[in-house]
Amino acid sequence: MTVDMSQFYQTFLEESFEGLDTMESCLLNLDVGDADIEAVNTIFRAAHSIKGGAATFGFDEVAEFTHVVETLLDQIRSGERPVEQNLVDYFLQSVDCLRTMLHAVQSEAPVMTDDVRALMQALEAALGGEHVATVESSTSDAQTTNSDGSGGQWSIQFSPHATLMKTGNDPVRILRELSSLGDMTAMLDVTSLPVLSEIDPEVCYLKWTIDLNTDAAEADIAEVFEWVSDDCDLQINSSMVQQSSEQSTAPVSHEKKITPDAEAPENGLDIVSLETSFKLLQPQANELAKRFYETLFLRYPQVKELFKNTSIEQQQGKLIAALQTVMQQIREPEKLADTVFALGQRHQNYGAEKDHYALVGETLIYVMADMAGEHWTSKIEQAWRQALSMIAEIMLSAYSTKTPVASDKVTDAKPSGAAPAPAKPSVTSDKNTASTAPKMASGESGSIRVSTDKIDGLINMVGELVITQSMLGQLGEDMDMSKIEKLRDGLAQLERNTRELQESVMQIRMLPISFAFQRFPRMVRDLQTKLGKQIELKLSGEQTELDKTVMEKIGDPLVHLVRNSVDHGIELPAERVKAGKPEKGVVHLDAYHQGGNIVIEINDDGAGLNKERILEKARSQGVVGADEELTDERIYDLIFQPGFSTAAEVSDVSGRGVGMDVVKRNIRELGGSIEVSSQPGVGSSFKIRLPLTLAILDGQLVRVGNETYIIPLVSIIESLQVKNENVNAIAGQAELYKLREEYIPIMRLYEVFDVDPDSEDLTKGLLVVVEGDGQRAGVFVDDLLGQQQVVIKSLETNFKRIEGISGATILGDGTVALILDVGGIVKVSQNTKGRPKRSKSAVDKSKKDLDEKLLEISDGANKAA
Amino acid sequence: MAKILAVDDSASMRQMVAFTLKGAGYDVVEATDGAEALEAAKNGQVDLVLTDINMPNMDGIALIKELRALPNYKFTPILTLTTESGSDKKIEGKSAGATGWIVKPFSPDQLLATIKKVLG
Repeated sequence: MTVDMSQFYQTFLEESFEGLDTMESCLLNLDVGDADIEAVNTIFRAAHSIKGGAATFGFDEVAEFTHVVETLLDQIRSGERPVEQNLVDYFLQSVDCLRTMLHAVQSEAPVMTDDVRALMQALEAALGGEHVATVESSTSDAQTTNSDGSGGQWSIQFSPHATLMKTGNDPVRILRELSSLGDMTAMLDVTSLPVLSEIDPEVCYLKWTIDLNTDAAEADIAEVFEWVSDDCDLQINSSMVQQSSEQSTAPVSHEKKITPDAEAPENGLDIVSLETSFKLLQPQANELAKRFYETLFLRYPQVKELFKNTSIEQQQGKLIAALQTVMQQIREPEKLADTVFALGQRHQNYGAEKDHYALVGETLIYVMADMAGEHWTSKIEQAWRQALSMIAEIMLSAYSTKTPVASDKVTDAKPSGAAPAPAKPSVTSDKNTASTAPKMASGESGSIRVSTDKIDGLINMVGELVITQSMLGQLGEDMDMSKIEKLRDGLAQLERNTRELQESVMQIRMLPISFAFQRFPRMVRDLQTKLGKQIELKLSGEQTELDKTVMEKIGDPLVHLVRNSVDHGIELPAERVKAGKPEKGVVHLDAYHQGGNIVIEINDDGAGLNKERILEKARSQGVVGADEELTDERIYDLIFQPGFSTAAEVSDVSGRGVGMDVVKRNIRELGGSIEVSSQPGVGSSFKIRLPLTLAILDGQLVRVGNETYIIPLVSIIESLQVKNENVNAIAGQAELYKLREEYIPIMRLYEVFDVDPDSEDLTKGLLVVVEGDGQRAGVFVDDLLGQQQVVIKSLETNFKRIEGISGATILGDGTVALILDVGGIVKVSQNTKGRPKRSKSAVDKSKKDLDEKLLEISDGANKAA
Repeated sequence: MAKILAVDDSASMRQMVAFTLKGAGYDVVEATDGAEALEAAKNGQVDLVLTDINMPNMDGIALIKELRALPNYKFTPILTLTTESGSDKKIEGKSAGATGWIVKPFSPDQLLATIKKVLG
């Protein structure tokens, strides 16, 4: 039975990343000198699991590295070694290192880098230069063979102890196994058997004398008794050694061999020719790889598609690595067959087809011949053709054995769309991933772990939905007016079912925010050492749930804010004491739900923002006029301006002035907002407000002529009727509306989208005051329709991106309504001002295209339903 | 077909073991730790138990002892999944009442061969 191990890679990687997170957080809480044994056990267990999995799934380098870590941990666990700070540091480094290695595994990049080797040496040195046994690879067949070819006659005395059966062992099984080794005669000794009335069925009273005629080695015979060696008296004697004339042939673990061609010289492959020609070309390997891909794409443009998700440099590296592996293993056929077989499985995942192998082979031979020049002989070419066709054959044989991934398991439930990931060609192959590695926490993987309860709840609800549906179906079959009441009930029930189902499905994407918080203890620990500060990190509300996508996108902004608090906010211990504060500063991360939003607060008890310096800087940059007076709020808001940093010195922790604007932009992209408040000497507080999910938004439906648009409710400040005396038209066609003390630009939506409104008279319609990207504007519409939750359908995936529109949705009556991107629309209106209007027909055309496309989509959805 | 209880806190190992065994036609019950396994074993008789040693909540050794104390599991084969380095674990498992062991890392073929040996 062949099992494609690659289908388990994703699970292995996910659980390993989780294990590393656990290791990290336990390590951070570990008290040097007096370690909590349970914590050490947890750390050990995580390392142990990673090692076991890595060895099983053939990631030998990872297994080897983890083995060293595990050995050290085991010594601590058993009390042989105290927990020392330098060890904790080593372990933390190992966690980072393993993350990098696993990411390399994921992206099929080289795993064993110099960094890894250096750390491994350091760890080995910490072990005191003890010899660390390397881990066996999973593919190596542990079977001992009778290498010296001695076979023969064995006499075995097997006297089980009375207790042998208490461990579930059974002499019958042992005899059966023994008989499978050769011809066996067993003599049963029943002398110890008591009379029937005294027999205890749980005790073994029997003994055997066995004659065995076998080619198997003594070790093989002993192995049969391995499990019971302590539960029996055993003697294995060779009664007659017989020199076997037939040398046992090397074991072949694969049906497919590298040597299928009997007519070929030697063992099928012309290894000498292959090796000489390869040696000749090896110094020019990079050139070879480069020319190979150039030629391949030139000759066969159709294969280019396969490489669209990967960089060609990376591919070139892989080609060289593959060639080198093949050449290294060419004298070890079984090993090579395994390697090539595994390669085949991967290639299938990439979508390589049978025909492609011939193209690749031809191209490779062509390029090699060209580069070898006069050294290329027909003999060499023949050798390569043969080798490549064999390799292709084995790789293709891997295809047929690939089994589809069963997704019917509820315990590890994943959305069925989540394909096994090893196939995913990765983009990150940069060797310097070490520093960015922690960013890619397990939360960013393509799959999601869902508790069985949630799934069961869903199934239950679907069940109810089916009941409602069949009830309505029955009603529909013979409908008359007397049943109208029942129909209404049924529809109400349907509505309830749908709502519940919607809420539960949304729940599935929800993860506790601890996934985003978990990286901070480590980060703060590292930063405070670096900066010479003392900081306590408080986390609360870690169980607050948040949509997975939102969580992934909020990670980086949070990192930035926490860094800022640590770097700029919290003062050095001496300064704090001077200011009458405790030496240890506090950074507090808090999360909670408020309305339909999640709020994340980052508070610190540091120095607070320096208003004067911000204002001074803003004035020098010309962002604020020299004598403009600003409220505190507006001043603090200035830190979100691009290129704005008041840090006196740029540190490598923060202060380059790239960041706060990015933070704000990222949060806005998620439909959220950020507020700052600060008090000099007391601390600063950042409050991020985010929608719980990106898939649904609360929308205000507005009408312009015959069109319905949706404005996200969060960006609406108020809606009002226009009074003519408050409208000011100024040069350049811009109209301003005086809203209390502020002037805001008026945007006539019918102009922006070129549709016919009911009226162009401002007093006859309504002005919706919105705020987007920090700018307020009044959107002029004919009417407000209603508020409802709308499901956002992406325009980009089905059509293309349109400035000013963030998506579309399908309304209850089946029509399509566009969702306005308020920030974008402000920009659009500014750009269209004073410019000739877009030609009406062009707009109509793109809108018509869009309608058709959306119709197609909803048709498709209906059919699918 | 025989029913096998596979116990491991590592999801990937569990998946691999379960997939291999199911592919060979066995019924497989999975458990993530000793406590869960004990519960599963009590809920329905299994013909063989495959258990990891180092697990949270209840480890493999404790599980074996608990199982052997149940009349239904007095003679049921129990195999431990242990690593090469943990040879004392083999012995510890054995003296707790395990039938035998399979050394990690193992290939699906090695796993099946061992199971076949035990179940006949």
